[in-house]
Amino acid sequence: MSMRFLPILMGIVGLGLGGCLESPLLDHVQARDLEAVVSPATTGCALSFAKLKLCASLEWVHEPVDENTGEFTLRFWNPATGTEHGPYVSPTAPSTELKVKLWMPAMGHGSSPVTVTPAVDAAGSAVEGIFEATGVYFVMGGHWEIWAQIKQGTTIVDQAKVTYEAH
Amino acid sequence: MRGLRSTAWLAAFAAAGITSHAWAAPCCAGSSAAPALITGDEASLLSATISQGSVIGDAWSSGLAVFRDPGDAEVTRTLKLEGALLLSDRWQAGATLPLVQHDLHRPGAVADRAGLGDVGLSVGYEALPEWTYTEIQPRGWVFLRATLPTGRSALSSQAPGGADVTGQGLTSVGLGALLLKRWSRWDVSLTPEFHVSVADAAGARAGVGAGLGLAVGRRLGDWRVGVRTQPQWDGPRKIQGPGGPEETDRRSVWETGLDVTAPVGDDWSLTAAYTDETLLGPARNTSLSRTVALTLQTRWDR
Repeated sequence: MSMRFLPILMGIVGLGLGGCLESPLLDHVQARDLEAVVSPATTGCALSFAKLKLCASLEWVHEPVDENTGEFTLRFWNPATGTEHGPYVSPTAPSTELKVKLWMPAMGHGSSPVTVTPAVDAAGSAVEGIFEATGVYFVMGGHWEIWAQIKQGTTIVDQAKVTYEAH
Repeated sequence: MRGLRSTAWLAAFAAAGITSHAWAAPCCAGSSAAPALITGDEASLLSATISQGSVIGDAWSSGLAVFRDPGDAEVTRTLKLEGALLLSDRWQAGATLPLVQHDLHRPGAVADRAGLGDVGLSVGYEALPEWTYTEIQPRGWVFLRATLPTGRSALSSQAPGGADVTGQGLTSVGLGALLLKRWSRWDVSLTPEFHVSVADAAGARAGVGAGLGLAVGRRLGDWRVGVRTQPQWDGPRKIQGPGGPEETDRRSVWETGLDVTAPVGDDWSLTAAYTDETLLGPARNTSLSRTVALTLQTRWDR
């Protein structure tokens, strides 16, 4: 090989060495070896709805691990008249509804749709101010936001968020 | 004649090799790869590529690479049709039409969706023609490429795990160059590229990015074996988040690949390619894939 390839080879070696310094293959962890997911504190007024003057807590029924999607419970109360233990009040009016949106700010995208339904008692009647969120799934590990949104059609009336570290 | 045609074929793939790329996972920005360019004596090219990419892991914004566990499978299969047509001695135009299928078998999400990906249009100009051969001066092309958001983006995904994501949701315009030099059996190409995302479906302005591809190949008889590497960077994108305008984190990924091309008759060739995003770094804020691809290409001489 003649000398004319020397600059090219140097370029390739330089690029390669530079790239190898932070090779994901040489320096990575397995997802199963990460520490268990630690949920942020979501008790108390973890979700504060300024416009509606309401608080909400988020309690995980189970987080999205193994073969299951996650599920959590949202409880709403008026801090002027209640606490996280009740009485609970409905955040929605006949023209509004509660939605949950998962958002990954680092990448600017969401995840799978979350299903939100009113909690029901033993008789099958809706319990005021308590909602079940099911099908919670994060498309990749990292820092996520869980947004609870009160929407009237496509208009957001009020919203609040908590953060979540997904592994 | 056969030898000349083979040489033309292999020269074409010396350039085309660096343009093959893995489809990014649903979450991530698109590749900044160059379009297919005519770099030989052809009047037009038509190629069909089938590829299968598996997401091996995710690189977090902090740089931590987390490889996914066995049983956590996210596979993307792509059928991509590409064509390039010479408009004059030095001008050419091209188009890319991808069909994308996602197959997810992840904890909590099992889904299978397919759809049209992001269509690409390009024009190229041979800025450095090779009127006479020199040892040093390469042939050079500049190209302008537009990617249209014809696929479904992660922002509008409705399927579990983003299985229905087939595009970036961004109109982007890329400006780049391809410098190609051949010495006997060796060829080297360099592809710097800069792109800007114009807007997404929500109307939010996006950011800028760049890539730098380097490929080296050698002829072995009628065959060509090549290696390539292509670091890519994307700056923060201004987007409309749930709570208002916000910026994404920077993204970087480093593609490395191996290509083997063989002529199939006089007017056809076949290329097998392997692309790995886990070998070199740094990788930030992206998924990490390994992709195998098979490209069948035919050409029409001038």
